[in-house]
Amino acid sequence: MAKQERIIFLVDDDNMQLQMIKDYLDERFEMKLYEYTTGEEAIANMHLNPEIVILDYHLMSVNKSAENGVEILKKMKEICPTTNVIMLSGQDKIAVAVECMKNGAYDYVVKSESAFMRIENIFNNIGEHMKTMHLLKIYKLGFKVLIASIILIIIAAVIAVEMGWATAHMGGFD
Amino acid sequence: MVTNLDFLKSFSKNDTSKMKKYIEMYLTTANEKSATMINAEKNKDFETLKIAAHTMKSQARYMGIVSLDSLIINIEHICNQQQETEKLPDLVKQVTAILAESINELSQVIKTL
Repeated sequence: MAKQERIIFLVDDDNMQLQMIKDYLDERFEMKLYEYTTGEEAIANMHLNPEIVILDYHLMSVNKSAENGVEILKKMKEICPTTNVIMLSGQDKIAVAVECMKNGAYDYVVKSESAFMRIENIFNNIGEHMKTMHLLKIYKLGFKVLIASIILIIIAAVIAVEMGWATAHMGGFD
Repeated sequence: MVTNLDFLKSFSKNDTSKMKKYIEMYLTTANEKSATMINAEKNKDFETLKIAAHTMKSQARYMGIVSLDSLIINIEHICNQQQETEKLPDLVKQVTAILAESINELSQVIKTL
């Protein structure tokens, strides 16, 4: 598997979950992983411009007054709209998933034995998407350069023709 | 046996130090949340009870404790709706009994790792 350097935030107040995801991703991806147990801490560090945030939906198991994952998701997307936020939750209720997706989540993963493989697949999908977007940027730039070159060639040709015409006419006056 | 470590073994690729680390984390949380659930149920603190039960849900899944899932979902539902709360003492009793059994089993397992 191709390894890429990526900035990842992992936000979960469940230490065991946090450690398991960290170990799983460490084995598979080249990345700089930042761990946070509250959404507020993660928000304060959004200037690091993470490519992916794995965000727990319930962030109130340690601090009951902590904001829940959806509120944190909204703030993250406001600060950094390009960050891909993967919501992680113990709830498999469709309404919760829909609420997260409506608020800009990239995907929604239920905490279960298959969650790790799903996260890996989502990481790979995001990686592919980023590569495609990068290629698209290069193609767009290439296209602009091509158009500019064609315009310059046309201008040069027009100038050359005009000069030829002028020379011919000036010659005519002699 | 209430626990089944097939998933944990496969996840850790039989790395015993990792397995030990996860089991130790589980034991700490299970002990703590059992006490929290018992107190919260006594004090009719439904929010605390729901959060403690919720935390145990995913951790128990990783330890292969399938019998906890539906009980915890029931507790979460009752706490959310605040209806049929008379069922909570029995549900909490069942959950904490399973947690106690899992703690015993995993404390033995950890000695062998």
